[in-house]
Amino acid sequence: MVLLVPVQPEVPKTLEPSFWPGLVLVLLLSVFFLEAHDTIVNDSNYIESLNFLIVDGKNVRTQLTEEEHRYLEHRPLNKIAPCKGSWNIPKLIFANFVHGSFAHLALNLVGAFAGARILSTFIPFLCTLSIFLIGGSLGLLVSILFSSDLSPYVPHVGSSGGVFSMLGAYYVYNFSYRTRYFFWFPSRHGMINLKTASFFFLDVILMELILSAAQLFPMRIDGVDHLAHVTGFLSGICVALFLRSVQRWPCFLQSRIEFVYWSKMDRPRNFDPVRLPLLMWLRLLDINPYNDRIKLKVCQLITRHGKNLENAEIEPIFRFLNPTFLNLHQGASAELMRTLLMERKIIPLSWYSRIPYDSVIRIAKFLAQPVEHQSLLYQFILDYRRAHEGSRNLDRKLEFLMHKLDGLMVKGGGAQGGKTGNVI
Amino acid sequence: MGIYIRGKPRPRRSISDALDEAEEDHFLDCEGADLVTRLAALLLDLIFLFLIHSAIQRTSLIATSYFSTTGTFLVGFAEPFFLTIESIGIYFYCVWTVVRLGGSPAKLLFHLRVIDAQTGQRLSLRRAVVRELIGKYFTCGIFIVGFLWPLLRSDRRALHDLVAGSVVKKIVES
Repeated sequence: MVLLVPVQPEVPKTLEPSFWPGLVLVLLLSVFFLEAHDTIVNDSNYIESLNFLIVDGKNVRTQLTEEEHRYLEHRPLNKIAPCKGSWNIPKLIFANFVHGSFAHLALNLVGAFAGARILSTFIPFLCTLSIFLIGGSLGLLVSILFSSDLSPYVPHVGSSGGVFSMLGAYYVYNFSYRTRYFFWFPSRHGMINLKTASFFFLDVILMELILSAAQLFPMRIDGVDHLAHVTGFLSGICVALFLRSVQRWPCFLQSRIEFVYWSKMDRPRNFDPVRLPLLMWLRLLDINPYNDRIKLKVCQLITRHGKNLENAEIEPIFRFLNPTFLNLHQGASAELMRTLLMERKIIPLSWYSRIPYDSVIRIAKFLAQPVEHQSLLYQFILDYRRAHEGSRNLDRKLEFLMHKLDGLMVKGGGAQGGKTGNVI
Repeated sequence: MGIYIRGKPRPRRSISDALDEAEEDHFLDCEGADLVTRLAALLLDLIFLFLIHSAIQRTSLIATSYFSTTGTFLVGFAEPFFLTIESIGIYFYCVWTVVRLGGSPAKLLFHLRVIDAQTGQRLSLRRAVVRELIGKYFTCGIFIVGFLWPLLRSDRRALHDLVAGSVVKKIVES
């Protein structure tokens, strides 16, 4: 988490998260920190004066007497923050804005800013704030009830549960898509796009769940409240799932603007079941060209109904079939190519010229099966070669490949299929 | 892009083999990966490995402290068990991915491929072990100079590449 930081969802520039929600939350946390600062200072002084209770010579004591618990009950911080012995809902909510020290605040400000910012691609700020408060408060509650502390009057404060709840909400909204991560490398290589789901497993499951399990034992690994983190995270997931189901947010939409467009779209009672969806998907792709789920839907639609569509209707999809999509969804791309080649639809020359050689080879591997359709593979390579006539090096490679394929094709297929070029 | 050199003819079996050969020839024809990209991939690999290592280490810590508290006989087995798990994890991350996918996860993310310097094929298990475990051990052993070896060579091969007969290529995207 510290070494690999999620910066934002992989979306086009127009849908990038805005800064102001993060700044507002940072401002709120800072104001409340200043407000509670006197109490924190008094509490520190009070605890210092009680240090003799906890430290017995050189050893830290593991059990306190009833009288010593009563001393701790009167900590100044217990008036505004919840602890096992004394908690209520206003204290739980307020504790999200209280931090024990400036370092504690500074660390949480980074997370709060990032969390509120990245969620702005998906939900309005008020929803983000609600998720922050619900998740943070539940995290603190579970933490005070279940963690093993020296005394029931040890207060639990901090916004990290809320930060984790925003992270959980982010995973719900962007789980099937990619996230742009930052790692400390002094060049453009320091940014990388990873599948959100993969990092979810690595970061959340491996790190946080294991750490929180450790907190259930009396001997803690560190002083961090991992139980609040995990509860906050799970609450964030639950609230976001609830919000999505209330909103009726389909899983194939990534950003809020796509969702708004989708929900306000005209839906005629009698419509063409092939052309209208295609048109709709293409409009959504115009808004977010990174949405691979919609691209997959378009591929499936054309694979099923390609013969009913005109060339002019199919042509716009090629704007969105970029090398990344072809590499990640080779099967769907190959199926699309097979359908278009079988139906003798036009595949734009400009698209072929944009596609790298290794992507073509990968698609070609899919097109090699079944044997009766191998002629399509030859035709695909031939069309690709036509699009790269200017490149001598590539042309030679393709010539060599076609020569190889020619000898391997089953009789009756092979080069004959390739004589009918279908490029423009 | 370098000059394309037609590879030696190999026994033909199927269309898939022909396409594999075409892919391997293409990889051979690509330029060697530059040092900055390789270092970035190395750093990212270290981050991923650190995450996996931390998770295993902390699980081990929890298990050991739990077994110590309860006083079961399992306490003696916990450490070797987690050491084995970690070794398997390192094997899968560093060796298996190179043999099976042509590079560690970070290398694949940066469009880098580790291939045989002569044939362009993916490395065999033996050579991947030589490269990833023995070669890199020696590369680190001589004060990490081996990692800077690509700066001295036109083919941009590091010391562990020379030991294993491999080369790292940057896959060209038109």
